[in-house]
Amino acid sequence: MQRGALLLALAGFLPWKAWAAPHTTQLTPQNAATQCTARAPCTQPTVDGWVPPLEYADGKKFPMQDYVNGGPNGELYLLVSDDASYGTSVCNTGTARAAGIPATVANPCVNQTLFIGLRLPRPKDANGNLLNPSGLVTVWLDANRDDTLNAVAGADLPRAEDRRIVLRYSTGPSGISSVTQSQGDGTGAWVASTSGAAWATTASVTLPAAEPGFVHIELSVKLRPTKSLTLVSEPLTASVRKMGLAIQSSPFAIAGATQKMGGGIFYNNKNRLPADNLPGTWETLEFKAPTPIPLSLSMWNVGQMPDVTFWVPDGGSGEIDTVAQQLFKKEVACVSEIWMSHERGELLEKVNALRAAELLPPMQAITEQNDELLRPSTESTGLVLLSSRQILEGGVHHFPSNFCTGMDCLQDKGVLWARIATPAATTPVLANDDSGAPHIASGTDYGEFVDVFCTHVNAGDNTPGNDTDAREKQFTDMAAYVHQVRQGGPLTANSGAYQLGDNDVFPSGTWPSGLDRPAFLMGDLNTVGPKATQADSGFAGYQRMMGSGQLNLSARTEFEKANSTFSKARDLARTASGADPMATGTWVSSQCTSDVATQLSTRDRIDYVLVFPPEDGPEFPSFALLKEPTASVDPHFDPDSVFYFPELGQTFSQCLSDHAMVDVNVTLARVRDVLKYNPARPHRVEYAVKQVTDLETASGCCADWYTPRVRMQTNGFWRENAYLNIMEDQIIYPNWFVHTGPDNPTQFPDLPSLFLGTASMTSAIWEEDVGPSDHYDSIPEGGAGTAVDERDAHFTFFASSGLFRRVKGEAQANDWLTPIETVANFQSGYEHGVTLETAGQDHATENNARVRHYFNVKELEAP
Amino acid sequence: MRAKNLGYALLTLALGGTAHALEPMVPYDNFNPMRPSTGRTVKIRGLDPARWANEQTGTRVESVRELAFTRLHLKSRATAGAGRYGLAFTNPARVTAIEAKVRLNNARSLGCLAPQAGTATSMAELSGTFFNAGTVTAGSAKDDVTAAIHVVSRSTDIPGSQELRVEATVAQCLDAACATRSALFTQDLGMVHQGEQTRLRMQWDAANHRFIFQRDEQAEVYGAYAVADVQTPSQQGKGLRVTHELPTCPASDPAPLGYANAYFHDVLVNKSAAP
Repeated sequence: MQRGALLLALAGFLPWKAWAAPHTTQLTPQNAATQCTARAPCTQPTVDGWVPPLEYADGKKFPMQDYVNGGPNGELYLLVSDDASYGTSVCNTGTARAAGIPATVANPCVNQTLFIGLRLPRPKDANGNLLNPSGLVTVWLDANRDDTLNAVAGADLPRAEDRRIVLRYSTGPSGISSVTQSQGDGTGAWVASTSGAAWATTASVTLPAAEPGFVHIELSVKLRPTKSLTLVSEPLTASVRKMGLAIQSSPFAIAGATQKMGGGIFYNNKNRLPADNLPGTWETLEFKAPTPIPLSLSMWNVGQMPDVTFWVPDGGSGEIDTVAQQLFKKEVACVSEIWMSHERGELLEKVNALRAAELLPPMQAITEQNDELLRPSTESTGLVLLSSRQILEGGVHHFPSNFCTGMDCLQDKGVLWARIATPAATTPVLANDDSGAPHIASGTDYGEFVDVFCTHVNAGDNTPGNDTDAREKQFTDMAAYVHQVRQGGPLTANSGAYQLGDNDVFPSGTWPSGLDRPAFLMGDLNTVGPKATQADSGFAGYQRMMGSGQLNLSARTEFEKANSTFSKARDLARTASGADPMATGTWVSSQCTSDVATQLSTRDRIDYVLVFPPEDGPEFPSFALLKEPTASVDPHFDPDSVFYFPELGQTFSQCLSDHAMVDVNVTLARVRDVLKYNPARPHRVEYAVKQVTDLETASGCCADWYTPRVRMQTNGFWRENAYLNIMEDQIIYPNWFVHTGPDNPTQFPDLPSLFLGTASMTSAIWEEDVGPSDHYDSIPEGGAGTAVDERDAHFTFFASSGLFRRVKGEAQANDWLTPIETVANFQSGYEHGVTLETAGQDHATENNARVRHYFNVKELEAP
Repeated sequence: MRAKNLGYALLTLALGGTAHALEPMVPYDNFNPMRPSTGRTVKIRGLDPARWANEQTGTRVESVRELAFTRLHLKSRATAGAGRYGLAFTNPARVTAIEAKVRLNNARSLGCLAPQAGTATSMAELSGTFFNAGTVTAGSAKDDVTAAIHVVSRSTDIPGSQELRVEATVAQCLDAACATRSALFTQDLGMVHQGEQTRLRMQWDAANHRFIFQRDEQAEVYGAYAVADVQTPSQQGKGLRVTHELPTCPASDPAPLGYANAYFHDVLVNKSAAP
């Protein structure tokens, strides 16, 4: 069953109310007993009206979007402290303060407290002068949340244990702020809390000089009555660990302001405002670990030498089929030293044949393939990056040809890049249509990805000399390439820190930045590194590799200085998770036999899985790495090489490769919530073809792709781009794009705020052939038909509802509005866009392609 | 060998390849359905049935015959008897020359515990039956003459060795099933690693009563014979194959093994045999 059909079937089983239940947000409490020590003190907000994001680094960040007034977005930070009390030496102390955190902070830190930090944009007058805002911030707190969730009689209305806290503020020379607190009376009304029953609250509002465009608002709420005798926090008790929470910022109109701004709600959902007296409309804040996003990464040098270098035998006795056996169930694998193009192609075929036999979906890959007779087989990286998850973007970079020594100069080493959709990207999401009816969206959330790099660098000695010089130049080159890829391109670096090499293959244009999350580098780095607790100082080459100027992985980021929850590891397979933490040597040599598995602690470690942290700065990343990743290193043996030495009375096996395989399991977590589609803001609309896969033949190489037409039309304008330069491969990652905006050669304006029309788009996939070129079929409808509506995918974005749909076609004007499937509703998120694969089913010509389409409606900065 | 034939053979050896112009080699199949080396009117998924027919004799416990991206992949694992497994040309009568890149990725040959019980062999080869040296009898391969150029693993190889041997042979079948043969020519063409690709060529030079063998860029080797070569063979068949030939061991021995895992690509033939 195809995924779309499967999701629809699932939708049929979903009771409507199941999806209408209160939304849930996980927030991990900061626990003084387990997270905070004198050696690594925690950071907690100080309620002083200055809201540096990293004070909340043990919490979570949310956007504040004003769906009524538009204007720039604000930010909300939440942090909660757990039951354990703090000593003076374990929190807000020490000298290693993260950026923005003031010198004077509250100490000791406080337990059982919810901290709320808001940074809201200030209004301006017609001349751009900042004005002094005023308004209300309302906080609703639902204790005994389970009663509300379980529909206990009377719990649908605020009761005596529930609180409403209202901060009324004005700013400027005569600014004042006041806090009032009410509790429910069980009938839908709020009554003032008595001093004995009030939850202790502090608040502070400032217009900080360091950030003049924003008003900073900070509150703390003790999560129990002030005079509680038991000192028990009901929301934090082990059997509960939750509460209801809603927050609304309601700015007042300011005289002279061009626009009211600074509004927003928690939880951020345009269609679900918190109702004052309905706790069921408030968010459920669960005090537990964030939703884990697991991912496993494998690195293996398989030693498949080129046919032409007959004087260099393979690294082991493995061949493509036996190598494939070890790889086909991996999630993401970097495979190095498959030097022949046809063997790289065969590996992908073999792993997918093995997966098909076990009813697993096919792997996707980044690699280099060509059928150019005059191009030497060694003129490639020799790398294959396999992924059982969708690859959203990809590219190939070769190191400059003079960065090599000896035999390595016969090769063209470099680095592969794959942007991989994490499991969170394909979690089923409901999209309501115009009538409110739910559909399970068929798109993949482009924002849920990690960037993965796969490399193999210059071989040779580890003692300083020509080999290490070349290798270290490659590290520097690679680090610069990685940074430019992660920031979203464009790759125009020949005048910069790295050079685009010969035969580099990379997407044109730009793509969403990935600097807001960790990225991973897997590779044979040919640099001997420490194992487990061995000191770095004994491995000078490793120290240089990890240090500034090369991979630049040694320094702690500002977020890491302030956060006590997430992993700070960079070198994930340094320590084995099994009985012997030192068993991480990877170079097992070509004479490897079955007893090598017990000798890994004595072998050199040259194959790595490294972490590039999110971009350093005074802000939250979007994702972080949960503690602690696990790792194992294992040689693999050739089942066909078992032989018995009667003289020794022993049976031996040869290794498939002269390198052991490195396996790492990581878990990501989201720490910054996503922006959603806000029709009150102006938007740029983007459409692109991200990936094309040839489905025409079972085997073979290679298709020559181009497109004469990537088209978008909206708001009375249209733009059609052609990409006629051939891209050769079975799978390409072209990023053939069209978008609104001023950089088009013809007028094609961005969508204005409050735009309620549609934006429609399509693309055509062509393959150059010896005879007439072939217009490939990329949609399941249409069969062998040759009209564009029978071969090309068509999409329409409905700005009034945020819906993005695949539609019937373009032959009739109404066809652009006739839905085939619901891809996404941007009111649900999709901050970085959505992607969808479509595949042709023309059984007459077999000219079928699988195409990854990308669409984004991107909020523009407000003037 | 009769004196006249021997003299003729020596003469042709002396003249080498210059005496007669042989047909040029032309592409037959590059095993790349996306970019076939010769024109096809329709795209083929997998192996082209117009060029190849499946061929197998003997029994085996595991076998693979598939298009592997842009190569032919043949694999055979047998524990008894003799047999071949592969692809045969669909027009064998017109094929007088075969060339291909061959890579025997893995091979193991295990014989009986007592070496004198016989040698096990496993091969990847270009081979065929080219003529009959006697009187053709329908249904009988007797006197059919076969030629082969192959990469071979033998049970007498050093245990654990990655070295294989390239050989050229010409042989005459001595019985109807060609179970026994008389060698007319054998030449060692040197060692090759497991997994190392080698380009092999075999060409029947009927006018000079010999076969021409060549490995990679090495000098041609001429396999002259001194038997009549004007009769068409009884058992037509030429192709790309993996083979096994295993001794019958005592029941107390472990089973013998003939294992070959090979790739072939860029197949060329004599021009008149081109599709």
